[in-house]
Amino acid sequence: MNKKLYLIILVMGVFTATINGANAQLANHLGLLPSVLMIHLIGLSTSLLYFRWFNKGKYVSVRTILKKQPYLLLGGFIGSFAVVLISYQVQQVGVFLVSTGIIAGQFLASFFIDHFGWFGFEKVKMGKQQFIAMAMMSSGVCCLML
Amino acid sequence: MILLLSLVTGMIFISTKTLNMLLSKHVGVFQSNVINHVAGLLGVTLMLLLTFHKGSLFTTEVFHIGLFPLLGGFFGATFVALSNYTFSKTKVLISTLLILVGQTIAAVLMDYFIFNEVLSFTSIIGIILIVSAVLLYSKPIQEK
Repeated sequence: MNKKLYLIILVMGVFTATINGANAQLANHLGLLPSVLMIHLIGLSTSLLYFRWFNKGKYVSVRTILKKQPYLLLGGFIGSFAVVLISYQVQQVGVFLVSTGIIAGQFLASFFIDHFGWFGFEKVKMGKQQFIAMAMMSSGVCCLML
Repeated sequence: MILLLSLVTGMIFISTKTLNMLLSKHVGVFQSNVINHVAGLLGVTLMLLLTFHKGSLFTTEVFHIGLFPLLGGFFGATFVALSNYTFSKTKVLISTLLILVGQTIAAVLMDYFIFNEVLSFTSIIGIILIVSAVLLYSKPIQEK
Protein backbone atom coordinates (compact mmCIF):
# COMPACT_ATOMS: atom_id res chain seq x y z
CA MET A 1 0.00 0.00 0.00
CA ASN A 2 2.81 2.37 0.96
CA LYS A 3 4.66 1.78 -2.31
CA LYS A 4 1.51 2.67 -4.27
CA LEU A 5 1.03 5.81 -2.18
CA TYR A 6 4.68 6.89 -2.62
CA LEU A 7 4.41 6.34 -6.36
CA ILE A 8 1.33 8.62 -6.47
CA ILE A 9 3.23 11.37 -4.56
CA LEU A 10 6.22 10.99 -6.92
CA VAL A 11 3.82 11.40 -9.85
CA MET A 12 2.44 14.56 -8.15
CA GLY A 13 5.98 16.00 -8.25
CA VAL A 14 6.12 15.20 -11.98
CA PHE A 15 2.72 16.94 -12.30
CA THR A 16 4.07 20.13 -10.65
CA ALA A 17 6.86 20.55 -13.21
CA THR A 18 4.63 19.39 -16.08
CA ILE A 19 1.98 22.00 -15.21
CA ASN A 20 4.60 24.79 -15.34
CA GLY A 21 6.10 23.52 -18.61
CA ALA A 22 2.78 22.85 -20.35
CA ASN A 23 1.36 26.26 -19.34
CA ALA A 24 4.44 28.06 -20.70
CA GLN A 25 4.16 26.11 -23.98
CA LEU A 26 0.50 27.10 -24.28
CA ALA A 27 1.47 30.74 -23.63
CA ASN A 28 4.00 30.49 -26.50
CA HIS A 29 1.18 29.52 -28.87
CA LEU A 30 -1.80 31.58 -27.66
CA GLY A 31 -0.22 34.50 -25.82
CA LEU A 32 0.07 34.90 -22.04
CA LEU A 33 -3.44 35.94 -20.94
CA PRO A 34 -5.49 33.88 -23.47
CA SER A 35 -3.45 30.82 -22.42
CA VAL A 36 -4.27 31.40 -18.73
CA LEU A 37 -7.96 31.73 -19.67
CA MET A 38 -7.75 28.40 -21.51
CA ILE A 39 -5.93 26.76 -18.53
CA HIS A 40 -8.70 27.83 -16.16
CA LEU A 41 -11.46 26.65 -18.52
CA ILE A 42 -9.83 23.21 -18.79
CA GLY A 43 -9.17 23.17 -15.02
CA LEU A 44 -12.80 24.14 -14.28
CA SER A 45 -14.15 21.39 -16.56
CA THR A 46 -11.89 18.83 -14.87
CA SER A 47 -12.77 20.00 -11.36
CA LEU A 48 -16.51 19.87 -12.21
CA LEU A 49 -16.10 16.28 -13.37
CA TYR A 50 -14.26 15.35 -10.15
CA PHE A 51 -16.97 17.12 -8.12
CA ARG A 52 -19.67 15.17 -9.97
CA TRP A 53 -17.87 11.82 -9.58
CA PHE A 54 -16.28 11.98 -6.12
CA ASN A 55 -18.17 14.52 -4.01
CA LYS A 56 -20.35 12.49 -1.67
CA GLY A 57 -23.52 14.57 -1.51
CA LYS A 58 -21.92 17.43 0.44
CA TYR A 59 -22.68 20.87 -0.97
CA VAL A 60 -22.31 24.16 0.89
CA SER A 61 -23.85 27.33 -0.55
CA VAL A 62 -21.26 29.90 -1.65
CA ARG A 63 -23.54 32.57 -0.09
CA THR A 64 -22.81 31.09 3.35
CA ILE A 65 -19.06 31.55 2.78
CA LEU A 66 -19.63 35.05 1.34
CA LYS A 67 -21.48 36.08 4.50
CA LYS A 68 -19.06 34.52 7.03
CA GLN A 69 -15.55 34.58 5.52
CA PRO A 70 -15.57 36.11 2.01
CA TYR A 71 -11.76 36.29 1.89
CA LEU A 72 -11.66 32.47 1.60
CA LEU A 73 -12.93 32.83 -1.98
CA LEU A 74 -9.85 34.85 -2.96
CA GLY A 75 -7.47 31.86 -3.30
CA GLY A 76 -8.27 31.08 -6.95
CA PHE A 77 -8.45 34.78 -7.83
CA ILE A 78 -4.93 35.44 -6.53
CA GLY A 79 -3.79 32.09 -7.98
CA SER A 80 -4.68 33.21 -11.52
CA PHE A 81 -2.10 36.02 -11.22
CA ALA A 82 0.47 33.45 -10.05
CA VAL A 83 -0.26 31.28 -13.14
CA VAL A 84 0.39 34.29 -15.41
CA LEU A 85 3.67 35.04 -13.61
CA ILE A 86 4.88 31.41 -13.76
CA SER A 87 4.13 31.05 -17.50
CA TYR A 88 6.04 34.27 -18.16
CA GLN A 89 9.03 33.20 -16.05
CA VAL A 90 9.27 29.70 -17.60
CA GLN A 91 9.30 31.30 -21.05
CA GLN A 92 12.32 33.33 -19.92
CA VAL A 93 14.52 30.90 -17.95
CA GLY A 94 13.04 27.37 -18.20
CA VAL A 95 11.07 25.04 -15.94
CA PHE A 96 13.78 23.89 -13.53
CA LEU A 97 15.01 27.26 -12.24
CA VAL A 98 11.48 28.65 -11.92
CA SER A 99 10.23 25.52 -10.10
CA THR A 100 13.15 25.75 -7.67
CA GLY A 101 12.60 29.50 -7.15
CA ILE A 102 8.93 28.83 -6.40
CA ILE A 103 9.88 26.17 -3.82
CA ALA A 104 12.22 28.71 -2.18
CA GLY A 105 9.43 31.34 -2.16
CA GLN A 106 6.93 28.91 -0.64
CA PHE A 107 9.50 27.96 1.96
CA LEU A 108 10.13 31.61 2.90
CA ALA A 109 6.38 32.34 3.10
CA SER A 110 5.84 29.25 5.29
CA PHE A 111 8.60 30.48 7.59
CA PHE A 112 6.93 33.90 7.98
CA ILE A 113 3.44 32.38 8.44
CA ASP A 114 4.78 30.06 11.17
CA HIS A 115 6.94 32.71 12.82
CA PHE A 116 4.38 35.55 12.88
CA GLY A 117 1.18 33.46 13.05
CA TRP A 118 -0.38 34.93 9.89
CA PHE A 119 -3.82 33.73 8.58
CA GLY A 120 -4.79 32.91 12.17
CA PHE A 121 -2.25 30.11 12.53
CA GLU A 122 -0.60 29.50 15.87
CA LYS A 123 2.88 31.06 16.19
CA VAL A 124 5.69 28.49 15.99
CA LYS A 125 8.89 29.13 17.90
CA MET A 126 11.85 28.82 15.53
CA GLY A 127 14.91 26.87 16.67
CA LYS A 128 18.55 26.89 15.60
CA GLN A 129 17.82 24.27 12.94
CA GLN A 130 15.21 26.46 11.22
CA PHE A 131 17.53 29.46 11.12
CA ILE A 132 20.35 27.32 9.63
CA ALA A 133 17.84 26.10 7.02
CA MET A 134 16.89 29.73 6.25
CA ALA A 135 20.57 30.63 5.76
CA MET A 136 21.04 27.63 3.44
CA MET A 137 17.92 28.62 1.52
CA SER A 138 19.13 32.23 1.09
CA SER A 139 22.56 31.01 -0.10
CA GLY A 140 20.86 28.65 -2.56
CA VAL A 141 18.73 31.46 -3.99
CA CYS A 142 21.88 33.64 -4.35
CA CYS A 143 23.59 30.80 -6.28
CA LEU A 144 20.60 30.58 -8.65
CA MET A 145 20.82 34.30 -9.31
CA LEU A 146 24.53 34.24 -10.25
CA MET B 1 15.25 39.55 -11.71
CA ILE B 2 13.17 36.65 -13.07
CA LEU B 3 14.30 34.41 -10.19
CA LEU B 4 13.36 37.10 -7.68
CA LEU B 5 9.93 37.14 -9.33
CA SER B 6 9.68 33.34 -9.01
CA LEU B 7 10.48 33.71 -5.30
CA VAL B 8 7.60 36.20 -4.94
CA THR B 9 5.34 33.88 -6.97
CA GLY B 10 6.15 31.05 -4.55
CA MET B 11 5.11 33.31 -1.66
CA ILE B 12 1.83 34.16 -3.45
CA PHE B 13 1.31 30.43 -4.03
CA ILE B 14 1.53 29.61 -0.32
CA SER B 15 -1.11 32.29 0.41
CA THR B 16 -3.49 30.80 -2.19
CA LYS B 17 -2.80 27.26 -0.95
CA THR B 18 -3.56 28.35 2.62
CA LEU B 19 -6.81 30.07 1.59
CA ASN B 20 -7.87 27.02 -0.47
CA MET B 21 -7.05 24.68 2.41
CA LEU B 22 -9.18 26.81 4.79
CA LEU B 23 -12.00 26.90 2.20
CA SER B 24 -11.88 23.11 1.73
CA LYS B 25 -12.45 22.70 5.48
CA HIS B 26 -15.83 24.42 5.00
CA VAL B 27 -17.00 23.06 1.65
CA GLY B 28 -14.85 19.95 1.03
CA VAL B 29 -11.92 19.52 -1.34
CA PHE B 30 -13.90 18.92 -4.54
CA GLN B 31 -16.22 21.93 -4.15
CA SER B 32 -13.32 24.18 -3.14
CA ASN B 33 -11.50 22.99 -6.29
CA VAL B 34 -14.47 24.19 -8.41
CA ILE B 35 -14.72 27.52 -6.53
CA ASN B 36 -10.96 27.97 -6.94
CA HIS B 37 -11.23 27.68 -10.74
CA VAL B 38 -14.30 29.93 -10.99
CA ALA B 39 -12.48 32.62 -8.96
CA GLY B 40 -9.42 32.11 -11.21
CA LEU B 41 -11.58 32.65 -14.30
CA LEU B 42 -12.81 35.93 -12.80
CA GLY B 43 -9.19 36.93 -12.12
CA VAL B 44 -7.97 36.28 -15.66
CA THR B 45 -11.08 37.98 -17.13
CA LEU B 46 -10.26 41.04 -15.03
CA MET B 47 -6.66 40.97 -16.31
CA LEU B 48 -7.89 40.76 -19.92
CA LEU B 49 -10.18 43.74 -19.35
CA LEU B 50 -7.53 45.81 -17.54
CA THR B 51 -4.93 45.20 -20.28
CA PHE B 52 -7.49 46.02 -23.04
CA HIS B 53 -6.70 42.72 -24.79
CA LYS B 54 -7.55 43.22 -28.45
CA GLY B 55 -6.49 40.03 -30.27
CA SER B 56 -8.77 37.01 -30.56
CA LEU B 57 -8.76 34.84 -27.45
CA PHE B 58 -8.77 31.43 -29.11
CA THR B 59 -7.47 30.96 -32.60
CA THR B 60 -7.72 27.77 -34.66
CA GLU B 61 -4.07 27.22 -33.65
CA VAL B 62 -5.45 25.47 -30.53
CA PHE B 63 -6.29 22.48 -32.73
CA HIS B 64 -2.74 22.21 -34.09
CA ILE B 65 -0.56 22.64 -30.99
CA GLY B 66 -0.73 19.03 -29.79
CA LEU B 67 -1.89 17.61 -26.47
CA PHE B 68 0.99 18.57 -24.11
CA PRO B 69 0.36 22.35 -23.87
CA LEU B 70 -3.30 21.68 -23.03
CA LEU B 71 -2.50 19.39 -20.08
CA GLY B 72 -1.67 22.13 -17.52
CA GLY B 73 -5.29 22.82 -16.50
CA PHE B 74 -6.12 19.12 -16.30
CA PHE B 75 -3.05 18.30 -14.16
CA GLY B 76 -3.69 21.32 -11.92
CA ALA B 77 -7.18 20.14 -11.02
CA THR B 78 -5.98 16.54 -10.64
CA PHE B 79 -3.12 17.59 -8.35
CA VAL B 80 -5.58 19.00 -5.80
CA ALA B 81 -7.62 15.79 -5.79
CA LEU B 82 -4.53 13.61 -5.38
CA SER B 83 -3.04 15.75 -2.61
CA ASN B 84 -6.27 15.32 -0.66
CA TYR B 85 -5.99 11.55 -1.02
CA THR B 86 -2.29 11.21 -0.13
CA PHE B 87 -1.29 13.97 2.30
CA SER B 88 -3.35 12.74 5.23
CA LYS B 89 -1.78 9.28 4.87
CA THR B 90 1.94 10.08 4.74
CA LYS B 91 4.54 12.03 6.71
CA VAL B 92 5.26 15.59 5.58
CA LEU B 93 8.99 14.91 5.14
CA ILE B 94 8.43 11.92 2.85
CA SER B 95 5.82 13.80 0.78
CA THR B 96 8.14 16.80 0.41
CA LEU B 97 11.09 14.62 -0.62
CA LEU B 98 9.11 12.58 -3.16
CA ILE B 99 7.51 15.67 -4.72
CA LEU B 100 10.93 17.31 -5.01
CA VAL B 101 12.42 14.19 -6.64
CA GLY B 102 9.53 13.89 -9.13
CA GLN B 103 9.58 17.60 -9.89
CA THR B 104 13.37 17.67 -10.36
CA ILE B 105 13.42 14.72 -12.77
CA ALA B 106 10.50 16.09 -14.82
CA ALA B 107 11.87 19.66 -14.88
CA VAL B 108 15.38 18.59 -16.00
CA LEU B 109 13.92 16.42 -18.78
CA MET B 110 11.51 19.16 -19.94
CA ASP B 111 14.18 21.85 -19.92
CA TYR B 112 16.52 19.66 -21.96
CA PHE B 113 14.05 18.22 -24.48
CA ILE B 114 11.40 20.97 -24.81
CA PHE B 115 13.01 24.29 -23.85
CA ASN B 116 16.66 23.47 -24.81
CA GLU B 117 17.96 24.90 -21.50
CA VAL B 118 21.17 23.63 -19.83
CA LEU B 119 21.88 24.15 -16.08
CA SER B 120 25.04 25.94 -14.92
CA PHE B 121 27.28 24.63 -12.09
CA THR B 122 26.23 27.40 -9.64
CA SER B 123 22.56 26.65 -10.36
CA ILE B 124 23.11 22.99 -9.42
CA ILE B 125 24.85 24.06 -6.16
CA GLY B 126 21.94 26.45 -5.44
CA ILE B 127 19.37 23.72 -6.03
CA ILE B 128 21.24 21.29 -3.70
CA LEU B 129 21.29 23.99 -0.97
CA ILE B 130 17.57 24.72 -1.38
CA VAL B 131 16.55 21.04 -1.30
CA SER B 132 18.79 20.45 1.77
CA ALA B 133 17.23 23.50 3.48
CA VAL B 134 13.69 22.21 2.88
CA LEU B 135 14.62 18.81 4.34
CA LEU B 136 16.39 20.34 7.35
CA TYR B 137 13.45 22.68 8.01
CA SER B 138 10.89 19.86 7.71
CA LYS B 139 12.62 17.56 10.20
CA PRO B 140 11.00 18.90 13.44
CA ILE B 141 7.54 18.67 11.81
CA GLN B 142 8.07 14.93 11.42
CA GLU B 143 9.05 14.59 15.08
CA LYS B 144 5.73 16.13 16.20
